[in-house]
Amino acid sequence: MKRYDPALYAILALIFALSCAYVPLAGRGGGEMTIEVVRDGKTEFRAPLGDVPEMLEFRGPEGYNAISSVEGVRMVSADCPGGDCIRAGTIKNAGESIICLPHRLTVKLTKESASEMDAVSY
Amino acid sequence: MNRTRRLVTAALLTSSALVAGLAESRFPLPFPGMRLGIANVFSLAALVSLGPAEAAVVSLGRLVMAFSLGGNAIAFACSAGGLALSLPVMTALYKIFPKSLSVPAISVAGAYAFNIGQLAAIAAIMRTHTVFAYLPPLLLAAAATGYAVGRTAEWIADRVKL
Amino acid sequence: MKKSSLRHFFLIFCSLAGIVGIFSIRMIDPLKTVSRDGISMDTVVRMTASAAKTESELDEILEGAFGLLEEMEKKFSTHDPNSEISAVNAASGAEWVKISYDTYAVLASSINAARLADGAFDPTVGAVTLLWQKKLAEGKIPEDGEISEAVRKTDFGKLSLSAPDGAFLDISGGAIDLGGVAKGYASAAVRDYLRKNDVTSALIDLGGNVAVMGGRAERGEAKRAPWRVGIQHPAKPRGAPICVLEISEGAVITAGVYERFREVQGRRYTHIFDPRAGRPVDGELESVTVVSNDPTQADALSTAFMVMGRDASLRLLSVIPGTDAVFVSRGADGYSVTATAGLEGTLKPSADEVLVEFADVR
Repeated sequence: MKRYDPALYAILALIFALSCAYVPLAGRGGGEMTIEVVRDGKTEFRAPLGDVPEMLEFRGPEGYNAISSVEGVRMVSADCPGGDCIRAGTIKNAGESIICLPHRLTVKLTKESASEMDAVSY
Repeated sequence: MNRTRRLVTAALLTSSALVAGLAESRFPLPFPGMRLGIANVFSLAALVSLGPAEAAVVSLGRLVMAFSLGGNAIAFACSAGGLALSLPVMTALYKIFPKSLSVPAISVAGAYAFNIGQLAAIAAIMRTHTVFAYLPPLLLAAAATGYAVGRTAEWIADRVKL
Repeated sequence: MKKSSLRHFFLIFCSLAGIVGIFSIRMIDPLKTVSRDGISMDTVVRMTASAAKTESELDEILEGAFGLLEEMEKKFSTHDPNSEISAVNAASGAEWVKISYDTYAVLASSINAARLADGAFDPTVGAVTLLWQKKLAEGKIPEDGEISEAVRKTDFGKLSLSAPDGAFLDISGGAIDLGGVAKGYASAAVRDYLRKNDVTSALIDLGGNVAVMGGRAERGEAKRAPWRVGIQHPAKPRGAPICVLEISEGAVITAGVYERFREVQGRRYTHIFDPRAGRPVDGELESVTVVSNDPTQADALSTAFMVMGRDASLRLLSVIPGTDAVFVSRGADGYSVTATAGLEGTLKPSADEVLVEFADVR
């Protein structure tokens, strides 16, 4: 332990606190819990968590992912080399996400209502 | 220390880092993106015993070689993003406060910077900022692994006594 | 290893860090978004605009957009005796009238759309609409003689324009009615105005005539999400959709019989008229939504398609590039939705019982 060590650790602890504060921000918004699947920045699927089937399958140019939505959302199967997304486990809270980097796929939970519209044409 | 010795030491540290990195990738941690960062021991040792330029060479050399030995492009981009942030941070801390910051503390800061840079790279690739939600567990682990890496690097630099 | 080459490595690293830094900064969106509600052109208007400007600058721009709408209302209104359209109507069968650029442009677009739809849409339908409005308000239905008289006064071929500022309706007693096109034209004008003022993303809702541009700017996201525009469910309260369309760029304009109608002697008479028959439309279609980059044409075509019916409309759509449509019809067992194949993947049903069928028209 040197003289400035505590100061540096304090700064790092602050960064950690800020990162914790970000998590609820990522899932901001009111409404029911919504699952959103984004590939390469483009939303492929979005629906209220209560309305989705227990198993969702996604096929993209890079490969296949299967998502289970029973008691939280988790990746149950994927043909990516690392399998990081499967090991990421279960997400339950708004703002959390599972990333399948090789397939450029993000599964995230938000509190944004899927039926929310910007306008209605009549 | 003469030039040849510097060169040999840098090369030795690079190859050690490469082997350590490859060995580590065989045993993934439970959380994606979480790493022990053993390879970083050697970059840090290079920083302490040789200097910033050699530390950059060791890190960059390891990164490029690991990629050419069959790494994937995305993992490369993540590590590059991490290094792009962690190297300047560690170098700056080491250069500005050589007397008043310990190596483990610099190492933890470097590990923090690495994780943030890595997620920034992922955010750029995936085009979404929500990946930063991964940060808290990663930073928590980085505090522990960073400290261990720092102690080990200190020890190695001490033994090498260049 | 020379010291200088080491320095180079270090420089490369610093630039790499710079690049990553720029990427991270791009994630932090400098866009501001401002919304504004109001009443204009006899309807509820809502606009949302995003740009890399301050909020007060955006406020000013939207204020200007509402000003534009006021101006157009003054030119296009048939209720206002001082409007340019009223002037053309008053001089019908007699003389040329000097008109502004906006009126010229909206009339020119109307004539084009009328040609395209072979008269199923007609800007000179005023005689028919006026007759029905008057009779229905009295609780009566026009007689056949009156209807054929009104149809005789409806003929877009007799509406002449002379560039850049002249109009002449060569039917004495004829009347232009821009009800089926004015809002579409107004939303196009507002969209162009916003674009000219460096607004990068906007939604313009003129009483259910929706035009969007640039996708919806979401805080922090580098990519824009598409706007989500609902298509009104014919039997549900205003705002409840039967389908939702994701669209980043273009107009979504609906003509529906459920929207405005009058009941006389137990029968419903809608505000959408078949200009050739001189009668309100009375088919299986509840509504038609046209999706196109040209809001003026979309507005005119939505009316025309209501008149033509689904099958004839689909045939016509095969020769209009870049235009899609959604047809909502009432069948024996609920509502059915048919859409052109161009909307596949972006149009989703939002009510459980509704099935969307896609028709390949190309």
